[in-house]
Amino acid sequence: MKRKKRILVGKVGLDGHDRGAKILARAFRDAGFEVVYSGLHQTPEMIANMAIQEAVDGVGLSLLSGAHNHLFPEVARLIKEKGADNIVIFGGGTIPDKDVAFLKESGISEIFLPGTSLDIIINWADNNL
Amino acid sequence: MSIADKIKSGDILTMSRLIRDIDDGMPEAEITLQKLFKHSGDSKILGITGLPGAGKSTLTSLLISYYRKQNKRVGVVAVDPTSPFSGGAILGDRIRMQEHNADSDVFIKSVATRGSFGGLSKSVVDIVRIMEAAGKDIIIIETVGVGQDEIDVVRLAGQVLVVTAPGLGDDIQAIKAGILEIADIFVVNKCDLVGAEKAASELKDAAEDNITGDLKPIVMTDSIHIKGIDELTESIDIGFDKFNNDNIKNEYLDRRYRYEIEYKVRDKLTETIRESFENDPVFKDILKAVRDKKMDPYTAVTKIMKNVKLT
Ligand SMILES: Nc1nc2c(ncn2[C@@H]2O[C@H](COP(=O)(O)OP(=O)(O)O)[C@@H](O)[C@H]2O)c(=O)[nH]1
Ligand SMILES: [Mg+2]
Repeated sequence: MKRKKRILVGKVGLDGHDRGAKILARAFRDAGFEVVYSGLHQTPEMIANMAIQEAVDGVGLSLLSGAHNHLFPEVARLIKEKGADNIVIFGGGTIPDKDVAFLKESGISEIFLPGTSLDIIINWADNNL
Repeated sequence: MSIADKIKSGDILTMSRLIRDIDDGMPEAEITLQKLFKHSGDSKILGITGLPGAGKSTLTSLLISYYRKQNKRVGVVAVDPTSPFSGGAILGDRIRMQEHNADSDVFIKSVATRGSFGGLSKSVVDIVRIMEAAGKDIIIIETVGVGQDEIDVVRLAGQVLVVTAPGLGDDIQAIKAGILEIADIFVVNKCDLVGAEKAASELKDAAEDNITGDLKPIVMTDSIHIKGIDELTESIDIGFDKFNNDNIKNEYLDRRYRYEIEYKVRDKLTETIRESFENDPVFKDILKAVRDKKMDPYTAVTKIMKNVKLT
């Protein structure tokens, strides 16, 4: 029996834009994933709880506010602390190249820089979740 | 600790992983479910159905708040449709339940139909069992809400709310067509919008025409400004109080377990027959005989019924 892939598309923090996250969610659905969308303004704790309750394979975080260096590692830390270290976390949004190394050291498996095509993200998720 | 013991202690990670295994059809999961059975059957199970956009998820969130104020532990199963094109799904119900995301006594599970009809996924009955064993006092099931034949929830839940709202198009007609009979309580939501009074009176007329016996309560709510929710929860409480009567409780349990067993038997039979057509030479011969017009399909059905290997 083949498992169906499940993913949480999450918006953390004060960033009030979710057009990109919704487009990503639909693209994942069209690629055959079951996608839980968190809605706006979630705390890292809320994202971690959702990821665990929904038993997802991956969490895709999108952030345009610039607070990624604080919020992304916090989500990773909480998910791990709650025992679900199998969940793969990746992120995107307005993240500058110079922050990528730090985020990857902080439990984020992949960062997609602005302008990355949806196909590349979905392909990566297909291979890594 | 065994998986079953962890579930009974309310361990969230174990619960969600077992639910995932069930949803994915992992055969080992059934062993744990067997152990959990004794610890299920006593929670209150509330079904919520109605057209998409009527406000089922928003109402669910308000009901969670009501039960949490009484310190009850709450489980939610929210079902959304699987896309027939991609097999994927967007599970968006819990966006309306955000305020409960940080509450460890609220467990929300989103599932996709994965090809099931009837408004639920195949896994819902087992998910409910796990939530019951984990000590959830109340379990709310939000159905898909796309069809008029969302009857599965009636058999699984103790009570069913049918939610409608003005502005959904031909809403009352749609309700008339099939789900009028399944309601224990009617909710006319979005009472802040014009047309709510009209929707309620049409519903009342339809219900009076349709139902023999007790007339079901019709409650008007506005989930944005939180109006009518006290009346709704009062109706729900009165409904669940009836289960203190052993006859009513037993009737419910018979209905629920019969649904579960029928569903599972049907599911296994469907799978067995599908496999037999692929692998069993007897089935292949029958098919060929029909193709060559040496046997008619009616005879074929009888022959197949005789040849199904019921294991
Ligand atoms: N005006 C108004 N809008 C509501 C009310 N209840 C829900 N909504 C809105 O209706 C939309 C659909 O609600 P949702 O709970 O997702 O409906 P569901 O598809 O039945 O689960 C959302 O935009 C809600 O904010 C209400 O009482 N009044
Ligand atoms: Mg909904």
